[in-house]
Amino acid sequence: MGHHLPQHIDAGDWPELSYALGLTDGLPTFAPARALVDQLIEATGSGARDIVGAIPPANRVATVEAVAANAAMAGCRPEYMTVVLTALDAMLEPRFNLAGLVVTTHPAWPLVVVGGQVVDDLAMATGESLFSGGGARANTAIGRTIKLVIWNIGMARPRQPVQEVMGHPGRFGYCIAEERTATPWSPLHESRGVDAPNGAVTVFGCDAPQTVIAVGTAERAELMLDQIADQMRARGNSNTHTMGETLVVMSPQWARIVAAQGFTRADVQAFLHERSARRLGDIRRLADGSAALRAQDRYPWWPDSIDQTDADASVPTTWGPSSIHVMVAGGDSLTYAAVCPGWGTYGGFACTTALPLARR
Amino acid sequence: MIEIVDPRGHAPEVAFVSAPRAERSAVGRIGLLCNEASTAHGSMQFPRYLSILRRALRERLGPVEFFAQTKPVLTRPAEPEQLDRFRGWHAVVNGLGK
Repeated sequence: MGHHLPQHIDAGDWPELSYALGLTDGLPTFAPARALVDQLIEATGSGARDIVGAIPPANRVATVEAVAANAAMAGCRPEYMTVVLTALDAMLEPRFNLAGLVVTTHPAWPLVVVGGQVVDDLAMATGESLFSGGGARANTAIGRTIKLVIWNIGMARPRQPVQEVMGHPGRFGYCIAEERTATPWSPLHESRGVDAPNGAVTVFGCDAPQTVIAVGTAERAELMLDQIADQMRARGNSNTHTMGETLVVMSPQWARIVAAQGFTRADVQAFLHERSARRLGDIRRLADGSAALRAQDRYPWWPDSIDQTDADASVPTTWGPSSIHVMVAGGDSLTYAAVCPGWGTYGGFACTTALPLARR
Repeated sequence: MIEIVDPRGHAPEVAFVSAPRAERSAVGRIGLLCNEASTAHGSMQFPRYLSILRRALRERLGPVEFFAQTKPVLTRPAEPEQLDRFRGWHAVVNGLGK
């Protein structure tokens, strides 16, 4: 850390100073002024020096104060801090493998999904422009805070050490909120067994959303879901080769149509799991296009139930139906859905945490 | 003027200490910690790369015994019991993969 950050500056000097010291990924930020940072710390109920965790890849220590400084830079209001800290706690679960997710060649990034009461409390956007902030300060600021924490504390810089080949627009900030009323199903966190009166945060390491439209399906539920399954099993998706988990977001209209034809969320998960499976010979090929079935072609991460010597073996794209996370959000107009493939077997697995009943 | 809070956190208090470098003449057993075992999910050249690495180390160090381990998941750290199997070896080359 050879760059000196002055303790006191003229407020107008912050933009250029932040770029000169590499304190932003390219987007402008607000100055982490002491008075604002202290307000954000106060809202957490924790002490400034309390430790949130070691943020990879540099594993520098994130104190509540350092997280609050990044939150100030991102435009957070004090009431957003509980969601920020809950999301970070979830990402630091070992099974999430944040260290791997951040530096991998694969373009996945921790998506923060906020559901329940807190969505209303923070006036989060759940409708149009879902994946680009929806015009809501909370969606954007929370997603930006996560990015800046990993950028400034984790020191996750492109090339060294971040090896991501293509990048992902969500790496600027990746936070969405779940529709609360125009949905036929329970919130995502409830479906994952988390009781959360104040709301919950689910983090999931995933690609950018791949949109699916229901044209050509005559609004028949099976055909609409088959359209999603077709996107899930694209040859180039990591899941197609390494399984893992996938997020499927349905617009309210899509979900209503499917539910009205008798599909519960569990039915949707089971249907998508079955229909997104693909013939092994289509997934793994030799140079002449034939199935790659030799011993050295074997994927050790596939379960033993798949006969890897059989070109006609059916290979699911996810570990099981419950590995397909189904939620409802987006503009309530047309039948659109989005598929966010996960990071396969490597990490980024969904972690759902209830927000605390009282402030931290 | 405003007071600024540094957003970069602080360095871990427990620093890693490198093992002392072994004398070249004393290196006879080298561990290879690989990210992947096969050509299935990476460079088709990985086995050849390992072979070249072994040859290059033998050219520099003379007769060397190698012991290769593959991590169960390439994106995660090696399991502690795997690392234990390298105990007593003179050096380990880490991060071998595509």
